[in-house]
Formats: sequence, C-alpha cells, structure tokens
Amino acid sequence: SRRASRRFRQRAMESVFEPGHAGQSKSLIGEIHLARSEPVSLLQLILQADAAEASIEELGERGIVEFRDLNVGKTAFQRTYAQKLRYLDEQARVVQYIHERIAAEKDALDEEYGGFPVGEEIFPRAVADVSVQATDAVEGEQDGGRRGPLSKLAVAGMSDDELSLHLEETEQDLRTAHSSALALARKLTAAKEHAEVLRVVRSFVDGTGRYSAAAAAGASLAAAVAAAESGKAPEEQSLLGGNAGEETDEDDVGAAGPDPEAAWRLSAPSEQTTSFGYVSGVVDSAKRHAFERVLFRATRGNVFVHIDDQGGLGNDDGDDRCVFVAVFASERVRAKLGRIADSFGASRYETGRSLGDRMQLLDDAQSRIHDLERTHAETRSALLRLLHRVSCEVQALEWRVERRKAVFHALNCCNADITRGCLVAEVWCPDIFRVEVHTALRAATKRAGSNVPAIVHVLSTNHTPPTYFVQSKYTAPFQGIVDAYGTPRYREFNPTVFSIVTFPFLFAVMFGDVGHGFMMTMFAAFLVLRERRWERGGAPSQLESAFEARYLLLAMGVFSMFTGLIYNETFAVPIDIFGTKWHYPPGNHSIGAKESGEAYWFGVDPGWALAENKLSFLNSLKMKMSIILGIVHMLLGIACKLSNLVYFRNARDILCEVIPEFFILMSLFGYLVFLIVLKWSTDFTGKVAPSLMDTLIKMFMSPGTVKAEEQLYAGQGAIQVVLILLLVVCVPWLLLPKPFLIKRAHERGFSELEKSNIEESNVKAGEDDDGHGGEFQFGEIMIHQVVHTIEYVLGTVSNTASYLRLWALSLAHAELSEVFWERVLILCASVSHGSAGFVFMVVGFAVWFGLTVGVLMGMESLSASLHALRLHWVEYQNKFYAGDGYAFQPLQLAREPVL
Amino acid sequence: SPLTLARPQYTQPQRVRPLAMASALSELLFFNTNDGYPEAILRGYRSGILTTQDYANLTQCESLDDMKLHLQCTDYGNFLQNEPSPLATTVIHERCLEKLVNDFKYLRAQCYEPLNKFLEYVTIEYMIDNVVLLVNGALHGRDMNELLEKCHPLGMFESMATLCVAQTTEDLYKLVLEDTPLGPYFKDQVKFEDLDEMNIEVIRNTLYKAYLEDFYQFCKKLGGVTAEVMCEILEFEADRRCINITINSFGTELTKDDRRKLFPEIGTLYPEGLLRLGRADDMDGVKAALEGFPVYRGILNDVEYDADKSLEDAFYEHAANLNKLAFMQQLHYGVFYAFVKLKEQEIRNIVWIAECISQQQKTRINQYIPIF
Repeated sequence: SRRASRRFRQRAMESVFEPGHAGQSKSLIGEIHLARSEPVSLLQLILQADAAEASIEELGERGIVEFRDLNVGKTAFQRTYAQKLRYLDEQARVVQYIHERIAAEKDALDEEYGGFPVGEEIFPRAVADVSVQATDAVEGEQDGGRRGPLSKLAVAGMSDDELSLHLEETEQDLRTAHSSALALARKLTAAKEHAEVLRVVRSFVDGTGRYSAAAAAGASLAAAVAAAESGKAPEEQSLLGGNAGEETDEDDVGAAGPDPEAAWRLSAPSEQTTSFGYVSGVVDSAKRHAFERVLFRATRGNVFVHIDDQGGLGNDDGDDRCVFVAVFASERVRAKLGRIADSFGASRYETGRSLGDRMQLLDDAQSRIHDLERTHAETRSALLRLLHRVSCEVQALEWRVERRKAVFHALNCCNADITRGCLVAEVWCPDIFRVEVHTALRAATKRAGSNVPAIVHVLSTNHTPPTYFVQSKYTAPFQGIVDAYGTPRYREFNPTVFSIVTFPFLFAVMFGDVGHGFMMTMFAAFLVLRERRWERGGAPSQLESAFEARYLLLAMGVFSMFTGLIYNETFAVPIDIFGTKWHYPPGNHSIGAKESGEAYWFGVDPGWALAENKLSFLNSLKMKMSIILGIVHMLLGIACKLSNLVYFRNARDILCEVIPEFFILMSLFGYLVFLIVLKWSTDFTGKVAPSLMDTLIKMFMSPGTVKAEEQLYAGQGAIQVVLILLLVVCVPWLLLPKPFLIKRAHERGFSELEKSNIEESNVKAGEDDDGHGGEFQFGEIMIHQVVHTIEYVLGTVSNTASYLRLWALSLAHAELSEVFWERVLILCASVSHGSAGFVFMVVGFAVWFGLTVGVLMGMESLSASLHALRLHWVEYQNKFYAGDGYAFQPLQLAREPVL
Repeated sequence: SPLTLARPQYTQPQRVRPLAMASALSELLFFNTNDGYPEAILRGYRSGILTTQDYANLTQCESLDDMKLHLQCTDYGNFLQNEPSPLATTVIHERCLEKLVNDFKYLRAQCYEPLNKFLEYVTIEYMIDNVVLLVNGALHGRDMNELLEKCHPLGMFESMATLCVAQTTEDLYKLVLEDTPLGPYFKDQVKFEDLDEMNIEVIRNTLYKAYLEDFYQFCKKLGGVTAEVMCEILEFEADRRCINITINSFGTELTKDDRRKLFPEIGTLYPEGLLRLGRADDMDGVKAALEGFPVYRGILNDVEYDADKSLEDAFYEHAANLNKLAFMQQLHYGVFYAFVKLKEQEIRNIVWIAECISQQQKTRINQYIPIF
C-alpha cells in the first residue's frame, strides 16, 4: 500500500511537471542549491568521427555528462566498437596477469626491495622519480608517442598498438622468467628429494644414522634387505653399475624424470627368490595413509612400509611430502607397487644397489643441490628485478587500459552515422556544466586536429532526468543518509536541507551529555584535521567509515554538548555554573529545598541532581519535550510537501491534501503542544495542576465539558469542541475530493497531459508497469486515497508516539552514565584511603573509562543515531518524500592512475 | 504368461493418510531449518541459467570471441577473462565445467544430511563414468594423467589413479572401489573376473543399474515432494538406459539373458516393457515393445520424422523438460539434481554452439536444446 500510494503521488506530481519551465518558479528555498536537484537537460552531441575519442576523454575527465545508451536493443558484440573492446580486453588480461604475478611474489618482493610496498602504494614513489624526468622531457613535445621509462605520461602518450606491443613483450618476459624459475625450483626440489630418499634408504636399509631407531619395527626386514644386497652386490655391480653411473651423470638436473625401472633392476636381483626388494620415493603427506592402505591391500599385507616425514620436504604448493620405503619379499609385486606409487603421484628415485652406490649418489645429489641453488637464486633475482620494474608501471598500465575501455563503452552508446562520418550521442548534462561541455568539446576538437567543431543541441524530452546535487564535503554525508532511503526525484524537495540540522539535533536529544559530546567532538575534530592527509592517502581501514562521516560526527558532537548543557549533565554530573536557584536549609539535607522564585538561567537547575524526585521531574520534562519536537518535525515535513506542491503548481493537492493534513495534525497533537506550553507557563502554586492526559482523553469522551478545577484557560470546552469538529471534517476532506476531482478532470478530457505522462513513465521505465498503464480506473485511485487517508490519520497518532523514543533513549543514556559514575568511579574512590585507595582509584577510573567509551560512546551513540535515522526516514520523510529518482552518473575518467 | 505381470497403469485414488499428512506438514515446517540456505543459493544459481534470449544472442555470434563477450554479460561473468585469444572450444567447455563444479562444491559445503547424501548420489553417476574411462584407458595402455584430465571433475575421488593398476575386477574392487560409494554396488553385483572391453561395458551398466535402483530407493525413503519429483526423473533415466542398452546391444555378443540383467528394475517400463524390450532383436522390435508407452512412442516418432534429431537429443530434451518441472515445486531436493543436469545440458548447448561457430556450420547451430 505504501508503494502504491507513493506511486500515486508520483503520478500526481508528474501530471503537473513540465520539463521546460520548472526551474523558473523560485520560492525562498528554491534558491538554495541543495533544496532542489540541479536542472538537467538532454543534450545531443554530434561529434566528428576523428575527434570522437578525444571528446569522450575530455568530457569524461571533467565528469560532467551521463551518456544515454542509444543502442539498447543491440547486444555487446553487435555494437560499433566491439572489435576495439575485444582488443582492449586482451590488454586487460595481460595487466591482470601482471597483477597476479606481482601478488604471487609479493612477500619475496617486499623482502628483496626492503619492504618497498608493491602494488597499490608503489606507484607514488615510482612515478615521483620517473615523472620528474618525464615531465621535463614531455613538456616540450606535446603528444609525442614517447617510450622509455614507463611513467604515467609515457603510458598515456602511447598509441594502443604500442601499448599492446609493450604488454605483449612484458608478458612474454614474465612468462619466460617465471617458467624458468619454476623449472629450476622443480629441479631443485627433485634433487633435494633424491638426497633425502637416499639418506632414508641408507639409514633404513643400511642401518646407520638417525633413522635406525625409527626403523626398529622393520629392523629384521631391513637387515634382510641389506644382507641380500650385500650378498649379491659383487656379481651384479660389474654388470649394471657402470650403466647406473652414466645415467646419473647425464641426468644432471637430478631425477626430474627418474627412470624407476633402472633402480628396480639395480636394487634387487630377480633370480634370488628369498631376497627382499624395496621401492622408495617421495609421496604427499596428505596421501600417505591412503597410499599405505592401497599398498597393503594390493599385496595382501605382504609389504612393510616405512614412512619418514622428518626431512622437511614440500612441493610447489607448500604441502608436506614424506619419504617412503616399501619393502617386499616377492619380486612379482615390484611392478605393481611401482604403478601404485606412480598413481599416487609419488616421485621415485634411483637409490643404487649398495652402500657405496648410495654414498656416491648422495654426493652427486648434494653437489647438484649446491649448483642448482645458486642458479635458482640468480633466476629468482632476475625474475624479481623484472617484477619490480613491472610493478612500478602496472598501475599506469591498468589505468590506461581501463580508461580506454570506458571511452569505447561510452562510444558504444552513441549512434554511428557512417555516411556523414560522425557520431551522435545523447547525454544528460546539468545546466551548470553546459559551458564546460562546450569548453571540453572545443579542447577535444583542437587536440584531435579536426576542422569541424562538434555540434550541441538541447533536446526536449519526456524522460525524467537524473537527480544531481552540487555537494560540499559537509553536506555529502547527510545526503548519503537520505540517498540510502531513496534518491530524490528530479527537482523534488531534498530532505537533506533540514536533515543537516535536525539529524544531529535529534541525535543529541538522545545523547545529551557535555562530556560525551565533547569526546565525540574531539574525535570528529581529529578526523577533520587529518582530512588533507587521509583524503589523498586513504584513511586507515578501521576509521574509513568514520572518516567519511567526520562532519556528521562533528555536528553530532557539538549538538550533544549543547543538549548536555540544557540537561546540565557532564558525565552524569551537573555543573553549577550560575549557582542553583534552590535554597537549602542549612545543616539538614533531608529536608526539601525551597524555591527562590527565580528560574535557573540556562537548562536544568543543578539542584535537581541530588533530589529524590529528580527522575519524575526529568521524565515529565523530556516526555513533553519529545512530543513538542516531534510535532514540529512533522509540521516541517508537511511544510516540505507544501513547498513541493507550490513548486510543481499543484493547487488541487494543496487544497485536498496539505490543508486537511495540517488540520488533522494540529487539531489533535498541535493542541496538545499548546496545552503543554500553557501548563509550563502557568503558575500552579497552591493549586493542583490538571493532568494533560486526562484533559486529552476527556476532550473526546465528554466533549464540551471541562470541570472548573481542571480548566487550563477560559473557554476550553468550546475550543475543544471546535477542534473535534475540525478533525471530523478533515478526514472526509482528505478522503473524498481528490479522487473525484481527478475523475472530473478526466471526464472533461483535460487530462491529456497527465495521461501522456503516465503512459510515458510506463513505457520508459518498464519496472513500474504493472499492467494498468494508461487506462483510467477510478476504483484504483479511490483505493489509493483510502489507503493514504488511513495511513495518515493513524500515522498522526503512531508517529507522535514514535517520537517518545527521544525521551526513552535520553533517559537510558542518562541513567547508564549515572550508574557508571556512581557505582564504578565514586564507589572505587570511596572504598579506602592511602595507597590501596590509590590503586582502587586507578582501577576504578580505568573501568569507568572503558565502560564510557565502549558502552556509551560506542553502543549508545550507535543506537541513538539509528533512532535518529528512523525518525527521519519514517516519521519525517513519509510526509512528503517520494525518493524514486535516479542519481546522475557521469562518465568519470581518472586523470591520474587511481591509487 | 508375461502379461499377467503387468501392473495396472491407472493410479489408485489417494486416501488422506494422517501419517502422510503429518510428514508433509513437517516438511513444510522444518525444511528450511537445514535446507533453506542451500536451496536459496540454488535458486540463485538457477536464475543464472541461460535464457532463450541469451541463446538467440549466442547463435548470432561470428566468432568464439564474440561468444566470450556475450557470456561475460551472463552469470558466467569473467570466467574466460584470463584466456588468451583466440579461444578454443575445449577451453570454453573446461571453464564452464569448472564453474559448475565450483558452484556444486560450494553448495555441498553448505549442506547437512541427508541433503549431503543426496548430493553424493548426484556425483556417483560421474564416478561410474570415470571408473570405466580409467579402466578402459589403462587396458589400452593410455597415459594416466591424460586420462585423469578427461575425467568428469564431479566424479573425482581419492586414489582414483590407482585404478590403472587393476588387472581384474577383483583388483578393482579391493584396491580402490571398496572405500568409495561405488563399493557396495560393486560387491553385490559384479562377478569377479578378468577385465576386457565387453566386461567393462557390462560393469558400467551393472553399476548404473545398482546405482539407479539405490538412488530411487533413497529418494523414496526421503518421501514427500522429493520422492515425487525425483522418482519421475529417475524412472525416466532408467527407461532411457534400458532402451539404450537394448539398441546398443544389437550386433554384439551380449545374450538376451545378460542384457535383461542389465535393465534397472524401476521405471515406467518395468516390468512389462522390459520383458518386451528383452525380446527385441532390432529397431523394429524396440518400437513394437514401446508401442504401449505414449512418451517413448512419441520420442521415437519424433526421431523418425525429424532427420536432424538423434535419439539421444530427444532423450536429452525430455530429460531437460522433466528437470525444468522440478523447479515448479518447493521444499524438495529434486531441484539440486535438476540443476546439475540442466547446467550440464547448458554446457552441452554452449559447446555445440561454439563448435558450430568454429567449424562454420551455421546451419545446424539451432539444434541446441533450449532450457528456460
């Protein structure tokens, strides 16, 4: 129903909205830039084909126009510049690849180049160095396709083909360097694994070194293997030893491609049926258990597997690997075990046949490791050098590629007129930028050396223009709050104008405390002072959102100090600035204080702080104050609605909606506000003050009669009857005339404009087309009005009640801070004296301060801002705000690489 | 007479059973406790399935790079971003599959039992295919790593590579499959003997039969809408397999008896249609056997009259329709199965279109099977 009624309002507004002369009617707030979005016109740009790219760049750098897509029906690849974009995508892919490589080596780069940050933050320094020389060089020769040290200027000056070439070369270099480093790393790993396997086999089979104990379980097996081997060794060595040696020498990169079969033949002779053989190698630790299980099953348990994971081996991905030695008795299973090992991705290495062989192999492996380590280190440092150079320019490259892509995406939105050699673009442009558009286009024509200037037409259109506000850094966070609910409709009254004051104020009503307000102000002031530094370099990530909202926080803090002064609370303690106006009888404090007949000059009298009836006094004060603030706030909402209707020249809605709405609010709660103020300003000394609640209830239960002792002013009964009658009249007034007026207008055929507007909005938006487009349906309009009436009348009561949250939150805040003050700080301070007292004092202060910052400054402030937010979004904005516009999103090209 | 075995085809009038109602109610109440989140993710995935409009755009592409450009505008996003031009069809296929697998893995990581078990059932089909692929490859001495790359990533399991060691079916079971979900099917159904090509096909079909029957029972046990939706889909799967087995067995050594043993005993064809299929000697026999089943009669007729359509295509189309219907209901697991199947179909479509484009066969480009 809410949406429906809002849509209805939208139509009503559209019906009177005429694009041409809306800007001419100026009311007082109409002249504030923030109050209504900037007038935006639809411009048609006819760009010469040769100057088109330059024009888009110039416009994009200034960020002043939003391109309308004139090729909505066309798919991405049917558009004019699809080919070009594909070409740029390829460049983007290379940039992406470079980023990936840099990210992969980030740690190593940090280490190598002394913690020199790579990636995002490397650019400023790198460019600072390079651009100094580059600026000198380039300043003279404009637009020279300069190459060399790739600073931003150099990158910007390159043609697309040059850039492609450069990227291609860089990628090729990187890939080569990376793959050779990787290959060397693999070889090194293989060599290390080989050495480790040899060590394990040596200690396990030969029974030496640190592994002998681990192999205790397989000791007899190991001994048997060793025995079989040493027995057989002499005969076999002559046959196969030379062969094995050759292989090792040739295969200088280590057993990168081990030939396991050779090792098998070596390690155990086949004719010896009683001998034991073994298969050894390296397998991923993660697969170790599955591997053992499969080995066990495959041989029906006739295998002994020794696993050693002490070697600290790892693969490329950093997973642990461990050495295994599988000892078996029967030769037949050798091939099978080998295949199983392979299928588990194990690397098997030659282990020689005797102790001597193994010593020899180990020595070889060791020297290979030594060589490889050196070569690897060199390759790595070459790779890192390359990466470091590339990381200096990658930001510029990325900026350039993204920028080009954005330009061609924008060009793809234009209509290409091949025959005339020009492009037709339609852009939304705020009127304040109109002149700048011409400047930009002139600059582009000059830059591209084109003879024919671009032509600019203003088009009249039925499309709703985008909403654009000129923001300052102070107003931006407030506008953000409003936009989070919905972007204002084009030229609609912008609630931000009042939110700038009301938001921090309503927050402060709930957060009123001089001390806490001061802390918040100081924090915000700190953020504001850091502004210059952090706007360029970026705020620390924890403070980022607070930094965005720094002026909001500042206002909230200052307002909190103000309300704190009114409540007279500083960390829950009143400050007796002007001297309390209560008289205390000397000596006995339990006796009630006496009035001096004079009011405290500003805010709440500090004398209330110690009074027993403090709470009932403050509650009554804050409750009434909440209602007054609420009514004023809602009245403001209605005033905004009036301003909108005046602006859009909608007399019908002023008469049929704003006026009854105003009277409904005023006759009920406006009157209550009057009573509150009256009661405050009446002296009831010696009399019983009448209860306002009773007065309001009796106003409806027994209209016209007010008991003499309950009367607040003369003629109260009669006035109340008038108010009730006004209320009773206003409800049908709000409900009935408007639908019938619309109906009559329609029947007379005067609603052409309205109809075309409705149809238009359905055609263009598509999203708010619910299938009842241009047809006039009285029932529907009536239902909308019924819904609106019910919503408004009920809302009058419930929204007013909603403002009582001001009182509730304020009470909670005051009570919490008082509890922390009295029960933590004062209690600790008064527990004992002397050195123990000092300790208590320190601890107590720490606890109190922690609670104040954590609970009050953290949680309480958050909850108070959420409640303030709600009061704005719901209670205030539902009186007038449509919020269904769409934001102006200009093409924005960064002039510099974005850091 | 075999005809006496035929079950009546009409459905019994449903009586309202309190227990069934209670279970339906509890499904309604508690489904979202554990399965709401995965289902929500899945429904999100589902809206990423390419639409007719997307296909219309894809078929207009001139090159694979055009396809990439268009696929970037869909749910596939920049999945081809890091592939250098020119693209190959296989690359597109791999990346599409990779996305499906990633989505599926993510989904599976989010779910509780019994949905997890259900999703495992979905993968078993691919495991069977992978096992057969590997064993077959190993038998022909193909390179293991090459074979592993060809395996469907959804059907990967640990120690899969060890399959190549197996020389006999017993090895196959003892070494590898015992630990996998395929273990039970294998143990109960497959005779231990030496592996040869014929054997492997028989093993594949036997495993499928066991799998389908088991999955069917599992869905039945889950009950509710899941059973309703899944049983229909699985019955069709079973029927399709029976028909395919019969047609493929013509001209091989497979005896009719052995053939009959491979038929899953679920589905609309069971038991009468299967008996008739079991006796068929040629394509006409199959047609005669399926005469009494309007769905299959229709499919066979379609294939006959439409020269461009193969039987396989017709089956795919029907399966896609059934899977689409799964999305019409809520609070059941059928959508998970249907999603994987539809996505597979989508990948087949994309690959088909890509192949047509790269081979300049534009005339046949529209033979893909539209989904939504």
